[in-house]
Amino acid sequence: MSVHHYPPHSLLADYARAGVGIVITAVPLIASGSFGVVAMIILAVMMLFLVYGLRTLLRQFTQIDVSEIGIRSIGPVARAITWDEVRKVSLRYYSTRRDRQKGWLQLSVKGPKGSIALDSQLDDFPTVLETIFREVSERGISPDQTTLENLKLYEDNRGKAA
Amino acid sequence: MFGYVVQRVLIMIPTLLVVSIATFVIIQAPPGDYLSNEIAELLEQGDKAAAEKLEFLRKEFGLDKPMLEQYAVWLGVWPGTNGYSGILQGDLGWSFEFQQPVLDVVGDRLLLSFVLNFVTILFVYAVSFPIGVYTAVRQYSFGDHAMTFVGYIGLATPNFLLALILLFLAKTWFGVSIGGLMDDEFIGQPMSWDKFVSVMQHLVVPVIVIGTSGTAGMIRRLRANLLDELQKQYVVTARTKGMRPTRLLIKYPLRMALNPFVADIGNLLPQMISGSAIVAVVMSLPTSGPMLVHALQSQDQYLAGSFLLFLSFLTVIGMFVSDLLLAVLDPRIRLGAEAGR
Repeated sequence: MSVHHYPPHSLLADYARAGVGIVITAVPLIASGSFGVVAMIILAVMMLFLVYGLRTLLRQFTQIDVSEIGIRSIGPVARAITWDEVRKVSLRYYSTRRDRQKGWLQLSVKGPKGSIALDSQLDDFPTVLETIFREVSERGISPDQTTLENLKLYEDNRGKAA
Repeated sequence: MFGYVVQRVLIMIPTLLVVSIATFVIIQAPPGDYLSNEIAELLEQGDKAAAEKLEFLRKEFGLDKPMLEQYAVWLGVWPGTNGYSGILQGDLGWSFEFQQPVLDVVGDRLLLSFVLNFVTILFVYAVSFPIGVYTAVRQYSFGDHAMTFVGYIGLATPNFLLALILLFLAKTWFGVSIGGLMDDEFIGQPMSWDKFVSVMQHLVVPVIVIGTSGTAGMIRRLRANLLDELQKQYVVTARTKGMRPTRLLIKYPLRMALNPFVADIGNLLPQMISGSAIVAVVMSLPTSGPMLVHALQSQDQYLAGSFLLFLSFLTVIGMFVSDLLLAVLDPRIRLGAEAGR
């Protein structure tokens, strides 16, 4: 059994993004002092950053427990999926840069009553990844082509970095 | 994905702000403004009170204020003569030439531009996608050569020339006038079924004219990308393992070849609106293109500025949509990417 959490420095970056987003949307909203169509759009964008900030806050108080029984998130939004219940596992890569470098991975484990999504910011993410894919492959669940490619490239990259 | 959307939106906001500043500076860059040009004409005609009138109007419209203040008023974060009334409040400013609020001047034209360009985009995708796939799968066949030839003609022919040719052919062969976007009797009338039919009939030729070069370019790109994918090792392996060709094509190479196709959406929206200006002049289309050209010539700053800002906004939104689609279509690690920050 291993327990993982999001390290403070990665959460700080997310808090900064949420904060900057809220400020740069709130300033014109307050300065304009009206609630026209444009202001409504800005308000919607501000809500997006607010939700992002709340998600980061939830992450701060969430721990991920990976054991031989299954995976569970411990915290304000608790969820547990045993390995036998896993229906799908996917590994996706996102990057906001045009050359698609310096992005991050998102691992999603889907169970019957919901899913648990983890970002590569999680501490000891490679171990979590390895455990999850070992457990699901033992149970005959085959991930999609993109997930397999990402897994292979991630391991290759780590191998090169080492 | 949510984190990706938020980070992408965060990048969009300063981009839009910088674009709005650049737009305003560009509009203000030429010496003088609409009013000084107008007054110069009055002075030439011997109007003695023109100079006083100029001062009054410049004060009235806030043109005597520093550029930064004018920008803040236009944006709606600084009070002008009407209090806080700018883009953030949905007020695009005043058109000096039309003596009307910009929103009233551009309202119908923007709607017609949107309809025209939306149908054109659908046309470009609907035509180029099957042809692009066919020419790649049947490389060097008669159909491939024929389509490639037509594609080159589409790329090489200027839109306005094609517009003139089609106008002539429609008039001489079918005896119909296809100028404008609707029959004269429907101009200024509320929307009705007959008006809708008239608009659709008049859309056919402009859509073909505006969409031809985009279609030809798209066919070439899709063909080249798909050919690259079809020659890769995994396709050969799948074939040797007996996978059905159609299933193989749809499941892997086509999906990969779609990336540049989707990435083009970002450039497509503004290109369609600004690129169709000359065609709109030739075909007497009441769209936004000719009005933008005229507003820039006459230095009708708020009208031109609002148009340019709208085009920039479309570009930024287009890039956002294409990035989201790319993230959904192809969420794979790039070689050398430092995943796991």
